[in-house]
Amino acid sequence: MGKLENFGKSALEVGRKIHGGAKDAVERARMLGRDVAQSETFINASEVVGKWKDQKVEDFKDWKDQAKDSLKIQTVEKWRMLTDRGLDNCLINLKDQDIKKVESEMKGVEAEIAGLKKEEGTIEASVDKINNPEMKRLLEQKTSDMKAKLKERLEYLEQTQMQELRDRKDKYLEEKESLNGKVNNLEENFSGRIDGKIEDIKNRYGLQEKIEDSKRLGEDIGNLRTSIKDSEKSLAEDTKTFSELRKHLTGSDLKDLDDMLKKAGNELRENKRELFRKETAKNKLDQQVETINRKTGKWEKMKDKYGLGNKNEAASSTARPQENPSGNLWNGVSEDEYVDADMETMKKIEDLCLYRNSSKLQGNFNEIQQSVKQLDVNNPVRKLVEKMGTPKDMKASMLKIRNFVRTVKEAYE
Amino acid sequence: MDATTNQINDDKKKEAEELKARLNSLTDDIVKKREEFKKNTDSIAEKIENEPKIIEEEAGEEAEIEKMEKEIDSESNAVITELVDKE
Repeated sequence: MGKLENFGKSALEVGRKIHGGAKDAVERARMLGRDVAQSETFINASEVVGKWKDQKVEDFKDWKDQAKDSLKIQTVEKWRMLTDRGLDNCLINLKDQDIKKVESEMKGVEAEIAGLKKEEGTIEASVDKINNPEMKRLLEQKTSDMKAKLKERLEYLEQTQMQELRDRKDKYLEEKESLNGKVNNLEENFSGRIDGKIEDIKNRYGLQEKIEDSKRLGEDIGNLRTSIKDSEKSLAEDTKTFSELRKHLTGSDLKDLDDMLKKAGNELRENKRELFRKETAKNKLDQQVETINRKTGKWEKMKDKYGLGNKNEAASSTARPQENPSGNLWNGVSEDEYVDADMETMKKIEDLCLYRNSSKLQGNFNEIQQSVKQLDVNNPVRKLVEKMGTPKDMKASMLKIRNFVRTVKEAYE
Repeated sequence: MDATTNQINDDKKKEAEELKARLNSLTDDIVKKREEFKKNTDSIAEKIENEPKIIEEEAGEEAEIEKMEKEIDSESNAVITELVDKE
């Protein structure tokens, strides 16, 4: 009886264990069935592609609308949509957003793949735990259909959907690169042409020569004026001496001195006329210089308006400090550290330029002027801001600085 | 005429001669200065007279800028249209 009782207990225990394993496996299978059932809605490939296309159309609707609308807006605004990466609606930024969206979708699909694989592994591990062959056969039969569907879903996700997403991402990257190239070419083209116009005007009318002539005349005027004053003083003294002497003089002495005083007076008047001629010539020259500057100023203004200032200067400069003769250190700091410090300051300047609120403009500009002092003396941004002084059009200048900082930063990178 | 009067006359005559010398020198200096500075003025004045009429050409700049702005517009449109067409 005791043996039978023990056998019975053991059999019960084995039965319990089998039942427990089977229960666990059934629960896993049930969960897998739920996942597979959810996945089934996506399994039809054409349906999935259709949804993807709908989503794609939706994603690009805004983008296309903005792009189309941009054709109707003012030239300068349109230009900024193409070139000003600081703007939310800049077309290159929108391409970046597209890329980010695809990357996010890819992460979602990767997570789904990882989840399904984990679940598949868990089911198999649970089935493996079952020792009873009959129970195992039954469970394998029950889960095989689900596993087939799961496999199909995984294959679709890995081979079709991920590939489509990768293709989309490649396409966007290619488009972004192409757009960047086109925009850079346009900027360089127009910036170069405007610079050419400015140089042409300066050369055509000999601006530099006029400035030098005006300076030379200015010096002459100053010297001649001093000379006239000195001569006037001497002549006044001599006239006074002559007045005192004349009662003591007679004949030719009196006449000679009288004639000589008159002659000196006449020559002095002639010098005053010469001074007047010089002043007139200088005024005329200065007016011409002003006119030439007004002409070049119109092109400069256009450069500012379209944010084309110093594009070529920045592009041609590597903006990296040269190695000093002693090696790879610059004032005791490695070149990388040196560049990093400049990059950080330039980032700060770029941010300061973003505040277009008129009440903050002056304050931000003052801070920019202070910040550039932390940059290397050869840094083109520092040179630009220092050359700028206090601009009349603060807003346009901020835009100019920001575009320039961006170009220099790209050169540093 | 006593000796004192003669002495005074001699002094005045001497003063008159000195004044003549000073006036001669002053006149020479005035003329020299004018001639010296006149050279610059004449060459510059000549250049100014031969300059093209800058002011008359002022309007040309506006037209050129307008033309370039139209080019910017057209080039921007081309890029945007190409982008939209690709989608």
